[in-house]
Amino acid sequence: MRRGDRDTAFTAYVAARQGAMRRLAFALCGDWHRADDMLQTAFTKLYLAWPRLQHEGVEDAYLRRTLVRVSIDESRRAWRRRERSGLDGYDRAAVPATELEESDAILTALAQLPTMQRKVVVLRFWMDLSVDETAHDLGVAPGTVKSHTSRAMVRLRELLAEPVSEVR
Amino acid sequence: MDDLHLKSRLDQALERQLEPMRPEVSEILAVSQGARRRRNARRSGLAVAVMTALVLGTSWFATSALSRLDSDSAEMASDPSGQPGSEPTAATEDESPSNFVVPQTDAEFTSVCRHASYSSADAKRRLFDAGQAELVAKTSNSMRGWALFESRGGALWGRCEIRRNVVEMAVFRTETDDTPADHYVRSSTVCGGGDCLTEAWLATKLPSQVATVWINFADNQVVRRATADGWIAMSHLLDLEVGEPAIKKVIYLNDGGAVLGEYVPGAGGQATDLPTLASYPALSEGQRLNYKNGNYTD
Repeated sequence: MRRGDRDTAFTAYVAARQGAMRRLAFALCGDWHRADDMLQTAFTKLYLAWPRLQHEGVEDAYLRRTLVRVSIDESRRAWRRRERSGLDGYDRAAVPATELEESDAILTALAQLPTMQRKVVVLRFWMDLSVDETAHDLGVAPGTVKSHTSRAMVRLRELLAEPVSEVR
Repeated sequence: MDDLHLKSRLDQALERQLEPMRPEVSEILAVSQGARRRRNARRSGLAVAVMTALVLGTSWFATSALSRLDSDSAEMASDPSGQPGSEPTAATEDESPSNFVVPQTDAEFTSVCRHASYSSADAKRRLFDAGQAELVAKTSNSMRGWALFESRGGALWGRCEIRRNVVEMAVFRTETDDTPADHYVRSSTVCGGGDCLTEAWLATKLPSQVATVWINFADNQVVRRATADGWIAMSHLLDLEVGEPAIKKVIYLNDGGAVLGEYVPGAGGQATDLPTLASYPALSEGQRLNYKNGNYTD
């Protein structure tokens, strides 16, 4: 693949998928600025492997998996930026307070989960991945995913003040 | 079963989020292209080195390898945990293509940070006006500047980050905790002047027992920096592979030169056989004023 073609195809892909993948990154880590760092790292890795991945048609799965792995690496790095700054052109348009409060509830609850529980919840219930797919992305056993899921749902119910019921 | 309706709730929550402006696609491409160039350059350099070694024969190669081992040993010899009192090699000034001009004097830093565009106006008022904050540490490189402020009496502190076209001023209530992550050097990608580099930085207040911090970076540069009443600000730019750790080792020393804590990056973070700073309460970043879900509020 010629470099110009590669760049054109990559640019089109980034433009199409940036929004969704950015929200996934935010859901995984809970910070827009760290999410941008993680997404840049994932896009860069995608670019380096682009010809092969595009040929195989697995760009989305590769990017998602890379993003998840990067988020795990970030969590493990003790020197990671806990509160990022560096905020070129951030848009801070006003949003009605009531809407913010509603959206805060689920995101605040998610933020209070331990790291792996949070990732499991996002991948399984927001990304609709199966237990096996989630396990593959996270690099853990399916049983680990199930136990994280169970604990996460119990905790989320407490945080969201919902009645407890059986979870898979 | 997702009887909490997480998918729809998360969909709605993220839709309503104050999502910051997305990075430009062209910038994402430029960073990726830069990573590819660096990877190719490294591979080319490695290939040339191997070919040269083959041409010059195994004896030369063996000599070269031994020489490199000697060099590594010399670098490690400056590790204060291995040989207390030895002086590390000073890092050179960062040099990268950029026309970014950072403030130089305390007054310039203070003025820029007081007028930071990305901040809470109320928090800034509480720190600078009501709090009569003073600059306690500053540092800069060719892409970014950092400054730390503390209010009179110490109830509040602030961290200012100056980039090419934006300044962020975060204000925190002064609280301490024993979260080790707050002690560590952090890293991120910074872009400017058509290039993207990794910046490793430390801008915080360390436990008062720490008099000096010794940092060995991934590019073998070594920095030794004294704290001022615990406050420290330092930064260093590195040209690394994407995702590559920026730090080899960090050592925290008291005023007598004794090692209080060490940190060697690795999977899982703190190595278990090293002393840690966890027993020394340090400044917490958990109490940022007027800040929620990645945005400042007033």
